[in-house]
Amino acid sequence: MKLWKLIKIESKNFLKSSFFSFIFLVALLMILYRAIGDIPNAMSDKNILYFYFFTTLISSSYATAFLFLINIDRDKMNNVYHRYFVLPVKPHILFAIKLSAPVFSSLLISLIFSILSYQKFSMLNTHLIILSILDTFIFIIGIYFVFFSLELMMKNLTSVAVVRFLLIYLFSYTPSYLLRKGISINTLIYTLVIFSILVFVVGIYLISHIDPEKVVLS
Amino acid sequence: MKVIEVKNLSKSINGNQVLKDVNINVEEGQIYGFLGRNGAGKTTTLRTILGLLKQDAGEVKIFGSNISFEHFSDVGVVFEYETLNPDWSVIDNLRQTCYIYSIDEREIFKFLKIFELEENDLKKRFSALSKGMKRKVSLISALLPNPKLLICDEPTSGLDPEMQINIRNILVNFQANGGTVLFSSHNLYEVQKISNRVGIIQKGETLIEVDLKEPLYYLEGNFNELAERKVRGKDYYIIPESEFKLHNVENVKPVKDLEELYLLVTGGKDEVVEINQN
Repeated sequence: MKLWKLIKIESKNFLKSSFFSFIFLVALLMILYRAIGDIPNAMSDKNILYFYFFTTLISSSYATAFLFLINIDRDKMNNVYHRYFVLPVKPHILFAIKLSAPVFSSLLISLIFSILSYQKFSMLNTHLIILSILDTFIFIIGIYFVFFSLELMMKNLTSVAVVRFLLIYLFSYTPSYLLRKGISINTLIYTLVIFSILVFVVGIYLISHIDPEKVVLS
Repeated sequence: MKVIEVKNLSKSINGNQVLKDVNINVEEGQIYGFLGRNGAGKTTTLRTILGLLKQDAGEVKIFGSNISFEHFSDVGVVFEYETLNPDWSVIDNLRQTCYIYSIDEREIFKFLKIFELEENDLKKRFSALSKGMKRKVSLISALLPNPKLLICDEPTSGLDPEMQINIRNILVNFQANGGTVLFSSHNLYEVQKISNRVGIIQKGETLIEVDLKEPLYYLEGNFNELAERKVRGKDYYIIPESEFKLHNVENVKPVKDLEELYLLVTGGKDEVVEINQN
C-alpha cells in the first residue's frame, strides 16, 4: 500500500468537495473569535478563564467535525464503503486514511483558532494552553471515529445526524450550566479531559470493530 | 483445484431464512454462472462468500481457506451497484486502487484500449458517466491488480445489449488469460453463453450445479425415472440432452427462443418467463 499517495489523493478530493464548508467554518470561527471580545479580561479567576478557553476550543472543533462529517454521509449513501471490505488492507486502516483529510483539517482549524485566541487568553500559562490543544486533538480524532463508525453501521442516518446536531448545543451550554450549579472548576476541567480521552478510546474501539454485515445491510 | 467451495451455506437476515444449503464449487479457470431470479439469494450468497455477511451454518472456502482481507490481493470484486467514489474523477478512483495494491499507475492506460475508453474519459467525474461506462471503470478497478478470481454480481444488469456483450467479452477474455470468474445473473441466455459451469438458485436453495458441456434442458412431465437428479423435490429438473434416452424423457420442447437452451418446467411455463425477464 502506498500510504502517503493514498492520503494525498483523499486530501485533494476532500478539499475539492469541502471548499464551501471551509469558507463557512472560517467565517463561523471569526464570528466566535469576535464574540469572545473582552470576556477574558473581565475574568479574574484564572481557573474559570482556563475552563472557558478549553470549552470554546472543544465546541469549535466539534463544529468543524459536524460539518465535515456530512461528506461521509454522502459516501455511505453511495455505498462507497462496501468496497473497503473487499480490499487487501484491513478496513479500519482504510477508514483511518479516509478520515485523515477531514481530521487534519479540523485539527488545523482548531490550531489556528487557538493561536488567534492565545492573545486574548495570554494571562494563562502556556503549558495549560498546550494541554488544552492536545486534549482537543484527541477529542477531534475520537469524535470522528465515533460518528463515522456509527453512521456506517446504523440504518437510520437521520437519528445520528440529530444527535450530532444536538451535541453542538450540549457542548455549548453544558459547561456554563454546570458552573452555575456550583460544581468546582477543577472537577469540571478534569471531567472534560477524561471525557475527551474516553471519546478517543471509544472511537478507536468502534472503528476497529466495524461489522461489515451491519454496513452492507444498513 | 477448487477456487471457491461453498458447502451447505445457510443465512437468515432479520429472522428470514434467505439461504439454506447453498452449494457452489468453482474450479480454477472456469466461468461459473450463478443463475436465479431476483430475490432468489444470489447477492446474499456472493456477499457471504466475500465475508461481508456471516453465515449461520455451512462452510465457505476461497483458495482452500476461510476468507480474510489478505485474499483480496487475488480476488477482484464488482458489486451489483457502483462503489467507486462518485465525486472523484475516473483517474483518481483508479489511482486509489493502484495505491492500495501498490501498482504502478501507468497500468491504468493499458486497460483503456481493451475497454474502449479514451484518455478524456479519465478526467470525467465518475458520477457523470453512463451506467455502462461506470461498469467498465468498476471492472478496470477490479482487474488492475491482476486478480486470479473475479466475482461479479449481476455485471450486465441494466446495461444495453451492446454493453452487455462488451462486458461478457471482458469476462471471457479474463478467463482466456487464466482467470476464474464467478458471476451472478438472472439472464439464462447470458449464463448459457459464457459459462462452463452453472449453479441455479431458487428461494435460497441451490437447485443444481452442472458443467455446461452441452445445452441444458429444464423438463416437465413425470420424472420418477429422474429421482437421482431430482433436486429436493422441487419443480425444476435439469439434464443434458445426452441423458434424455437414459431417463426415458419425452415431451421435451423449447420454451421461447433461447437458442441452445430450452426450458420446460413442471410448475408451469410462467416461472420460466420470469427467469428470462431482463
